[in-house]
Amino acid sequence: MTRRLAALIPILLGVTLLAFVVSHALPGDPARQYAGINASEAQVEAIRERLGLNESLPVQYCVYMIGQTCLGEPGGGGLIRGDLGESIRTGFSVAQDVGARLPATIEMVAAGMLFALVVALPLGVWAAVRKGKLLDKFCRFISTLGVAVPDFWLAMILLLIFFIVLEWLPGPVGRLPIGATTPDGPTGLYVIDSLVSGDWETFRTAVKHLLLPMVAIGFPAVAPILRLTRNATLSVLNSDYIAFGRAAGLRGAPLYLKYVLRNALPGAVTMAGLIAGYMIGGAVLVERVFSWPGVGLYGYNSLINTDYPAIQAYVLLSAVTYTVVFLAVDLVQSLIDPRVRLK
Amino acid sequence: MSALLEVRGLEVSIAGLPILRGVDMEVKPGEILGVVGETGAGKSMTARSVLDLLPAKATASFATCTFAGQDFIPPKARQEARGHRIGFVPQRPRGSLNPVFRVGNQLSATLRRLRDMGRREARGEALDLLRSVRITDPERVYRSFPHELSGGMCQRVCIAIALAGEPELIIADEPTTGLDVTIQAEILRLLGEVISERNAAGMLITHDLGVVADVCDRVAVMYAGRVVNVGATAEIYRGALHPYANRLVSIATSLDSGGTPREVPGRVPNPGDHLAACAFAPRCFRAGPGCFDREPPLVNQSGQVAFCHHPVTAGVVPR
Amino acid sequence: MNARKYDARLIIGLTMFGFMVAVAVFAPLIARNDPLAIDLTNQFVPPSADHWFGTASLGFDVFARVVYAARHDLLIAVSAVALSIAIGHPIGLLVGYVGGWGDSVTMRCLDVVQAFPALVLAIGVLSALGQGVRNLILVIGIVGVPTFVRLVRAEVRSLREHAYVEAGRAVGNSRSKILVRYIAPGTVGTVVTQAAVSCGWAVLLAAALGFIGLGVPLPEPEWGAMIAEGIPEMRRGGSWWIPVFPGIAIAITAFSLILIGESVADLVEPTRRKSR
Repeated sequence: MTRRLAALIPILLGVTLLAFVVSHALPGDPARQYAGINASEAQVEAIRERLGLNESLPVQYCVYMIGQTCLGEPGGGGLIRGDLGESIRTGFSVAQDVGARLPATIEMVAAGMLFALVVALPLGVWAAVRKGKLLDKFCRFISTLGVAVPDFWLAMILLLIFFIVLEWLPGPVGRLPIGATTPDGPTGLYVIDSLVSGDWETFRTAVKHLLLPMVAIGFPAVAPILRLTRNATLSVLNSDYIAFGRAAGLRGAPLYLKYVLRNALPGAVTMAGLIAGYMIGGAVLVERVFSWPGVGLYGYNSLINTDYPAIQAYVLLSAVTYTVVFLAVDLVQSLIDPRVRLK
Repeated sequence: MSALLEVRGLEVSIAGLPILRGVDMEVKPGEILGVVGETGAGKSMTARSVLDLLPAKATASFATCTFAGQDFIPPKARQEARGHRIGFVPQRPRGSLNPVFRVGNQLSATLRRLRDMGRREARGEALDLLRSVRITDPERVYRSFPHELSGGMCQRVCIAIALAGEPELIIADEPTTGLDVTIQAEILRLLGEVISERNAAGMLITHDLGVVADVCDRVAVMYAGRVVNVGATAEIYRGALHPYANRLVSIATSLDSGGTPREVPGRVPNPGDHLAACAFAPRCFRAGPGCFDREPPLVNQSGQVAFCHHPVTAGVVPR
Repeated sequence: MNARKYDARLIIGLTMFGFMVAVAVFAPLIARNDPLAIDLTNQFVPPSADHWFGTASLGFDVFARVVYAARHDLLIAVSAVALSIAIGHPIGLLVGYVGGWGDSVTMRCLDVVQAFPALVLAIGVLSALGQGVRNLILVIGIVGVPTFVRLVRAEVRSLREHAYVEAGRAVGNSRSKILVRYIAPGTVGTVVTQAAVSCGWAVLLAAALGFIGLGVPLPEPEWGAMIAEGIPEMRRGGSWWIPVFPGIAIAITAFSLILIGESVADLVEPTRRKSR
């Protein structure tokens, strides 16, 4: 555990360095991007001075990491104090902005993950049991196709079908209808908060708004999880312990639920970790389609407004989250697979 | 005495290729039958047919299959006997235990399933079972994962699982494959002991003829999908009627006494090969022209039964 | 499992991809209308004989734009993957063969790069570099480098132990000669296979970047950006043809490339086939 956490430190340091390089050291001129196309040369120079872009690169990195302390000035700041800078667009600190939008993204990604697992795990087991049959071939076709269909396009197709044609589900207006009161609660996840407070009506509305984003962000993950589950299941089905379990009288549903699914789970969890990373990236696309007020949409809006500090923070936080998710997957792995514990 | 398990005319083919070509075999109550023969003779297939545990592409048909008087031809009857009436001890014990569950969990789950026990009762019984397979620290083993135990310890656990349903017959399919040579004999002796302690019957499949002599009451020798020679262990070892069985035994005993073993010349036929009327004829030192085109007759002599035109001792009874 | 089925997958993949390449190459012959022509009297017209895929805002002909966009998207994807290979292959050969601390440092660097979700890293870099086809190729190419470094490195490390490499060493070849003559050719197969799959991913990444406005600058046609034009239509409740057709084009291209890569991988590596 401690060793795993220790191994994280150099990677996180590297991540900050790369995020810094991307924002400060590339041939592009951040100050000019920052100032906008119509800014005068003097304005650009002023911004360059304000952002400290006239300092040497190592000094800039130092300031980026530990703030003004590096220059011997008071004021603090820097990454280690959680200071991600100030958004030009909203005027708030970026950390505050992101914090406010995080629950929306967590709600969507978690739902998408759940959707992917609920669809892919049983289907993967089923495809393995009926190996070579029509269902198996169909699943294989779907897994290749699923990877090739862009999630943002799928999001729009879903809207076309369920909002415009069938009118079953709400349009792309975010998490709740415009003007609706948001449920108060500890988690910030509307579905859970409304359920906790017993607000049945809000719960139903929140779920309806969540359904399409959930499918859109979750669908690309179905394919790889399905494929992995199928192959893991096949190797479990051909294993000696299944043969012995059968010989000891294990049959039917308990055989599949207790033995097969449980043994195929570790592999699928590893995959789910990889997919989570993909979803963090995909969030920016899907949130844009659904006007889902999460971190991805914040990143997108910062992008089109060239809100420079916000974009940097978005990039950095995505990478940090991805890394932490990986660590979490590693830990979950050691919980559900006793063989890993030894290593 | 009527047989506990009686199998007649068992035929199995995989993807159209014949694997078993009419196996007759019976296990009497309380006895341990040893089943020997080279790899590919069909020993495991015979055992698996009885439990309806053949590979997916295999098809089996019986002329007769009864267990304690019950008709065992319907697959459902054989499936329901798994664990309850027939216990199974596997090859490769380490791989046969589920790696993600604790050993004790697997054993007590089997008890709860087969004997409708509650959690606490199953735990107590599981510990007793572990003790009965001569495990000295059952509490520790109960809490262990399979990868934390040695191969021999895993096989003891597998035996305990096989015993969990209080079966009348225990089938052990080469139970020492993959175990250290030093503990192979120990495991086989343990098997013999637990079977006779429970007044159950056993079917022990093995290559190891030395072990058979110690543990088994009777021996069946298989060749190319048939039983060619059956008899009381002592009789078979004194001088098997069938030339193949005779040669196998002499190899085993000459190994024991330090002599140079003479191999059986030639090789075991593969499934689908064209077979002579007596499948062993091409490799047989006593074979005559008749062996190739006439079915070998049944020879019944001095407590043995064999199918052979030229048995090793004289005394031919026409079939 | 017979081998013919895999040939069928390969043939389907190659046919579909060949079709998209043909569309890109013969775009002027296929599309009668000019993809950049503005016709304010014919905006948001549904598919018709004149405009097979309908028209978008400013009266852009969707069919012509989907066809011409194939040129941009394929060019970007293929060039980006070529760049990934040009950088990743030599690095993989070198660190895989030489090993040591250079290898460790390289691998840690890759860990860091891969800690960024591909799309997010591309967004970060593009927002600093600015838009444009050249920057797009550069960014997508760089994001793809780690895949090839890891792939080639793993291949080299297994080839290094092979008997024929030992033999080459025994007859007194220099290290560099062994790397170039004996090991490098052995890595080509896996790289080509991965290249097809990577191309599929590059098409998707390019489209995603186009979708959020970091792709080929307007008014040049690009599939991802065309889909984005459909977003306001989703709220208005019409003009389904604007996002649907470019999406199908992306899916066909990416699907065919991934299919090619996977079926070739199965053919090249018979052991992998068994596990499927």
